[in-house]
Amino acid sequence: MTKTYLTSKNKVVVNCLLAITLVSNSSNVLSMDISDKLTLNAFINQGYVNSPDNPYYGEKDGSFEFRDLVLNANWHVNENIRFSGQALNRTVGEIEKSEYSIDYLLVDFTLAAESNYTTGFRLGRNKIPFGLYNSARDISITRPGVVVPESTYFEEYRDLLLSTNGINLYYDSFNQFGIFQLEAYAGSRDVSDRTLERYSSDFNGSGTYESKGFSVNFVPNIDQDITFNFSLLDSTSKVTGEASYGFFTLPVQFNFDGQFKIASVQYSLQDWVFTTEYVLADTISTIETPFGEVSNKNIQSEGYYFQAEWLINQNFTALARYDEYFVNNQDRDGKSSATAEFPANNFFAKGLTVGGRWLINSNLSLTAEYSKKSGTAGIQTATNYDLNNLKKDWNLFRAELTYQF
Amino acid sequence: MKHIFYLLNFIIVFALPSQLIADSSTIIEQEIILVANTSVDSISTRELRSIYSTKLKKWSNGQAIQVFNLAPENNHFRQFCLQNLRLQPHQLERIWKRMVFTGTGTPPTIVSSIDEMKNKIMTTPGAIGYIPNNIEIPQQYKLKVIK
Repeated sequence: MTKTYLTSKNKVVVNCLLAITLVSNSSNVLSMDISDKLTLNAFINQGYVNSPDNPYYGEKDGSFEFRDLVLNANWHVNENIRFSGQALNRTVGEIEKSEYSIDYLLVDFTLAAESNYTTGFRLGRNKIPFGLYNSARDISITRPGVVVPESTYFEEYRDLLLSTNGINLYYDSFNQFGIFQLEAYAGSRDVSDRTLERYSSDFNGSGTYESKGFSVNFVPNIDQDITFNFSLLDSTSKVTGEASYGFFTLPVQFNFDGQFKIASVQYSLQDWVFTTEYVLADTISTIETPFGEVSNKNIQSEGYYFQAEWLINQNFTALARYDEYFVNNQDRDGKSSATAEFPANNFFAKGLTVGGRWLINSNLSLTAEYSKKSGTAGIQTATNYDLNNLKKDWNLFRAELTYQF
Repeated sequence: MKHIFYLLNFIIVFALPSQLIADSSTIIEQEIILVANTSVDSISTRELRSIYSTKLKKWSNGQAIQVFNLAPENNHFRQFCLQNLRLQPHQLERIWKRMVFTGTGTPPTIVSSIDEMKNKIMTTPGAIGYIPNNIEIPQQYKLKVIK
């Protein structure tokens, strides 16, 4: 197939962005207020990735196959009841091709709002609060760079980190020590086909994640420029179905039990924002067949990063980040974990990222970053890709143009 | 590919030069004062931040807070963030966008001008906003900030 940079769909998007740019200097809207009570918000995000060494979501050498379209609506029925929902259309390299999803859909009941506390609950599909960035991981304009830090917001667990169908209770307290915010949640979600493929490439079945957890945020009165966060997520899943092993097709059950903990500190010093987050993930995954357990993996993964953002002026920000991720923190060079199928460099990832954002106006921004990486843990390749072909040391350039209206 | 180059060319030719010089020459610093329609006469910077990040929803007298804001590209908004909230406008905007796109809250209501801000404050019970100090407003609407 001849390689083309612009497919017809891409052309449409590029033309739209061009048209939007032309009119954007005269339009200053942040959102569309249909009435006092109903607001619509949307953004379109066109990405570009150049990954000369390793396929990144199946793409190499320069690809525009990274796109998000997001539309949401927010309706205040009265002071205490609010409906909110968001639809997402994502294209991520070869992995997701213009896939639609309901990002969240909820009704928020405020039970009490006083001058020293606010409390209530949200029913429906809620985003999972985990660390500083998880709930908005797909929202380009709230991320520090083109993507959330990959060492702590694992792409391979994207499914279970994303959202739950259930309940989210919130309690915000404003007291003499500071601002204290708690969210606690419980719910479930279907395991996606993409995750099922990872269990086994030839698998028919289904399952759900049962998730519960909490997130605590604290801003002390003595220094309001510092934010502390601790989040815990406990997720279990049982996936049942049939998988092929050579000539045999057997009923199998995949069990997954994961506990994710993340501690975060963010300090804002006028034009600088310093952030660090540290995550530990204890996961147990087993595969059972009628002939007994064929696999049992019990590992602790670890990831952390240090990040500095420089808010240069009202139009430009710069970013530098160093991060490390170990799939098994008892085997940091991956040598003991390596198999014929999974090389050692697939069990760790270290990277230095530098980048910047140009806020062209309040609707339009251009973000770009360059990463130099060692190790390929967490890399998302196309199904059936031979991981032995991945290079341990690799370079990655990512950019995105975002228009919000 | 051609389209992308056109787009970048357009941005570079028309938008970039003005933004590189905009910072120092076009902004006239003006003291920003807080205005509110409430019996509460003073608040702390901490409370002000909580109000503008729309977390704090009630005044200390129990009245519901209605938060008004100028559009982010308005220089008075920028000055308000820096002088009164001691926050970069980017940071506040990021908080609002995060709320909007995660379904967890709603940012303040945007007004289109200082005049509209003044009118909203004077006519909406529980309202809070800000205006430059050269704009006249009855004393009862002025809100003190305790540092």
